[in-house]
Amino acid sequence: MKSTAAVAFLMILLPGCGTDVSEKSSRIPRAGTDEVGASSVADPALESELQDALPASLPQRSEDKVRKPEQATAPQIAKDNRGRRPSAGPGDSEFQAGLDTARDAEPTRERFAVFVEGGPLIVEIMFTIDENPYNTVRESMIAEVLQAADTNSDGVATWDEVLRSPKFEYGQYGNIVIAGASQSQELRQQYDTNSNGRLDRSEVPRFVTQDRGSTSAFSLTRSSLNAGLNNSTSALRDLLDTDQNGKLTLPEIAAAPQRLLTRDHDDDAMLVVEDFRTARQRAVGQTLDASPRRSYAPQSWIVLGPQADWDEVIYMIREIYGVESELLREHFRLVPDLFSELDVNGDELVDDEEIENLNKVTPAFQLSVRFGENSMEPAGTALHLSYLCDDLKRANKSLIDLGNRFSLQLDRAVLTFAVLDPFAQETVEQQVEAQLSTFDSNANGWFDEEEFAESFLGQAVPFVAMDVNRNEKIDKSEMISFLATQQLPMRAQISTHISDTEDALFGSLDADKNGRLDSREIAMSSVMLTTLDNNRDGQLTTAEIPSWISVGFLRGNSPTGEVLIFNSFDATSSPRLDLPIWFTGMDVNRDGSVSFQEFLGPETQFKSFDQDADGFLGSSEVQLIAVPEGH
Amino acid sequence: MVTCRLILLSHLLCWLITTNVWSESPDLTLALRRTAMVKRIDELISRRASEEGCEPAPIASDAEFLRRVHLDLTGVIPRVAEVRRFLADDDSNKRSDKIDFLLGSSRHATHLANTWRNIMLPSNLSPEQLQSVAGVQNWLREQFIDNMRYDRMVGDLLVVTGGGDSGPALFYTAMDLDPEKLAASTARIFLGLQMDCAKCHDHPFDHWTQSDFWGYAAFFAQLKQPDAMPPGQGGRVIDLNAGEVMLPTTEDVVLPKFPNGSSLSALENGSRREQLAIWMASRDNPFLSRAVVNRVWAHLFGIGLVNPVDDLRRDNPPSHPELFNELTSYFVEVGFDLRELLRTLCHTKTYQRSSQVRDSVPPPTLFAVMAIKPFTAEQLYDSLNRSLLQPAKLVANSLAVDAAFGDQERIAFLAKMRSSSRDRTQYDLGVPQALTLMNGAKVRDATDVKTSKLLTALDASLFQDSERLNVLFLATLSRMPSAEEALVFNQHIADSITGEGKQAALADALWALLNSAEYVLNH
Repeated sequence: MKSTAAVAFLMILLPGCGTDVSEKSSRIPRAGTDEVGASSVADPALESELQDALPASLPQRSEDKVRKPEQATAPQIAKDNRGRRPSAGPGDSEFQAGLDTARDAEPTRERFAVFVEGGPLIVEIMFTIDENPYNTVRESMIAEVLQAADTNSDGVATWDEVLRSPKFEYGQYGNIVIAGASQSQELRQQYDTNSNGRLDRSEVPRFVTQDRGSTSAFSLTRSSLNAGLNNSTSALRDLLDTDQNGKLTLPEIAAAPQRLLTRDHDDDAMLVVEDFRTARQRAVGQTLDASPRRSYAPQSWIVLGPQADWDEVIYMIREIYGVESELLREHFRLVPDLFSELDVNGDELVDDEEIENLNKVTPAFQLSVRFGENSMEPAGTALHLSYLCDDLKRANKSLIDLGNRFSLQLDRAVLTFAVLDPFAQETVEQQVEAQLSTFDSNANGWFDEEEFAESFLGQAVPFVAMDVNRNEKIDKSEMISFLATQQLPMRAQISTHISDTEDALFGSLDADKNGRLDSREIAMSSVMLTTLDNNRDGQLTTAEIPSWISVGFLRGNSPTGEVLIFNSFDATSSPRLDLPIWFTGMDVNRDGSVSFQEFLGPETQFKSFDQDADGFLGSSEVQLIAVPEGH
Repeated sequence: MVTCRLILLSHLLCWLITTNVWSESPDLTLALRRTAMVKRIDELISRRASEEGCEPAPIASDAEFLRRVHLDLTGVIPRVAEVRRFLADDDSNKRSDKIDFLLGSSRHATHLANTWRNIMLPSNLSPEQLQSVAGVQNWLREQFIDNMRYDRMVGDLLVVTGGGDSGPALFYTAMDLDPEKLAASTARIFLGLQMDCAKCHDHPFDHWTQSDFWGYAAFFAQLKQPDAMPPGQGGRVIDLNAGEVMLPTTEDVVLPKFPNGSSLSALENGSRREQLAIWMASRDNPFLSRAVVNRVWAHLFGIGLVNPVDDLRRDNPPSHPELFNELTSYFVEVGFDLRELLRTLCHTKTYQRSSQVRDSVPPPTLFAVMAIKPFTAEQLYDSLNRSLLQPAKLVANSLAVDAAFGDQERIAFLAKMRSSSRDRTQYDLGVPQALTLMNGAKVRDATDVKTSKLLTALDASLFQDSERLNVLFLATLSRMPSAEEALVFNQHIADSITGEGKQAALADALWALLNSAEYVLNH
């Protein structure tokens, strides 16, 4: 059963926005105004890209959360916020256990900070699941579980009821299988955290996700090896650096395509970043680079909002920016507008109390992330950049939007955001069809006990768990019902994974930022490496490789908690309506071009179509192909 | 002055010539040695066939050779474009160039890793262990990418500690770190010795005694899985300083003893596994090179010079003793280079002979005609994907480089289609497997005009009907249709007047080709 999910990586590193802000601004960009999309972007092409990426009208933002309190002064704000600890959310002890109805939660925007060279970037995101605010979806799931648990319908769900209920016996709600009295006792001790005998709202998520789900609706995991230094930890660079001197010389650069192809294990001219990590690197998350690993380097990200731990935020800022006392404007050279907003008292210093205004300032990014079955249709709406601050617009060299993934190319960094929703890619019905088509050996549309035992479902769930009507058959409806219930908790779980451990050189070679090196990019790798040699000394050093930071938005949860590679394949595999359908058929690796290897016709025919003789048929060349007479 | 210089120069030239300073380059030396070995192999094979009154088959056609060498060296049939180009190429060196190209391809490393993984790991792994299979695959593949010396590779495997997705310790943990299982397995796989018959009593047919077996098993007696595992290193194996084996039903401790009879010196440093690894690569070990040469021969020719391929006992002599000895010496001389061994064998006429026979089939041990080998399950799945233009599924999984380990459709297909026979020339699949090819989802979808990528691609106005048929043959059988085949198939297509009918007729043709005996056989 598919339980894997791709992690979208948000890569944010914005060096030197360098905006000269002469006055403080706390205005929020509003839809339809010139503030949005209109910028003094130096490159008209970039301007055009941004215009294409940003919608004509933007959702109105509520100003309530970002407007500075009218009456409060900075010291007062600091005093109010100091020592605030993350709320436990709806499951807090202050909430009643039992069948509380799902709260009508307003759509919330999650906020976190990314600490990069030149200042922190504030990212604000609004998540929806099936067009509903994600927190309400989660509350609905909790309510459903509580209702199912309340077997005597007295309005209170107790652990006794749960552990005796046939509705949970086989893990129907994603929970661990309850196998006997002794295990029941263990489960009670494990999940009845306040020992009140009741299944409280706060206890439901951990129980139904077998401890993989977060207590709160939004969770942020991070993977950081060397904060912002992943340009020195590139396994791809290690592969190309055949003499292991830490630099890529001209001969090594010239040999890059051949070296890259040694990692193409299935010979499809398509490489992912995972293909370059050796077994040792996969095991310990290290590279062979000689640079010392900063074991105690602070993480580059932190959650803001009501869950913010301000002591930790302040500590991280000081560690990352090497500041012992107050922050100065020079520490915010990338985001001077942010500095101005934080500096409430205008003394050109941001002290600890003012740092806590990070919850209120204008974000650098605003994103809307849509999970759900309709999020992938039409392509391009799962992830939406609704706001980009002026500083980033000016610093942006290219913006590539693939619908559920977009990247910003800056001078010294690549920033990628991506979304993966495995539940949207394959419905429960499709999962069931896949199981039947593979394991229904007599093709009668249902599983008997023997067929079920051989299936993947049968290896995870006993026959009786799904054979609800006890007719010794498991039909499609029973499977659909079981899987829909079992996947319910994960469908309401969202997590964000941030990583700066990915291969920075891979990010630079991936010209279209789709997470793959396709045959063209492999062929062009030498050229791309040459362009990275900023000082034109014929050697590519690690310092010349732009950093790569990624953030992924995932529905469901990684079974190992690790940061996964985002699979954007589906986003790019939709056939283009303006191209002949045979082109899509021949494009086996779905990289948007047909190579000589993929072409089915005679070689002379291929050469006649390949106008630029680069060994690939691109969309522009295909459209020029004349239809022979008689066809 | 000038005269002195001229005299000096002439002396220098004479010295250079006599000392042969301009000796041949290593590559040239290797090539010359290879050429000589190729010739010698063919000579010995031909001589034996002649002695038996058997006429060798003619050299295989280009199409036959191309398909065979692709399958043997990369595990998959060639693409349409590759077949077209090869058939159109009139360069006399094209076969040699193709062999070199395939041996240098990344897919070759994957294929060897698949092959050796299937040899090393038992088939009855639990679902929890499947994750660690990727670790074995990844490790093997990296050895083959680097063309690691075979003796070094075996030595490294014997002393491995890492498991999970990072190392091949599953090789040990799959056998529960049991000394007798490990002894039996390593002896069979790497030494070609079936010593396990001597586990309970002296070997009934060979010279191995019970003491010999348990002396070898003693090398694996001091292994343990640590209780605490670092993240991502599940399945680690470590060596202890204690642990012994005893003869069954006795209290007699058996100390380590190498299969050649020598004992482990108490003065030697390092764990027992390390000492075994050192011995494996030493010249005192005659078994390692013979075993792998026989396996590689069997990989290409279907059967070994000794059969069963892992039973090199004294009373089971090779079919060509002189050839076996010379080839083994050659393999040692070229530095246990597997790639070079494969290159040499593929260059022989023996390898390039046709599998087609006119009259009676000669005994397979004469190697006068190429044996027909059924596809392995992996070859069949990957070849179907290639024929049908199906891309590999990218399954997001941080633990596996090879997405195939996360592809559930592939896993299910392999489980159903895997042969249990150790004889590569035997086709032992039955009705369920035949039905899978006839009616299974993969073939069904691929021959459905609505869902088939190949048929969709063929719908291009670029092709005429006859050319479409050519593509179907090239994509499946890696050859052009014969005149008779073209007549029959094209008539079937032409009988369909409408466009939809033509597509359906092409789908029929594709289905027939995929279910032909020629498709599922490596000939």
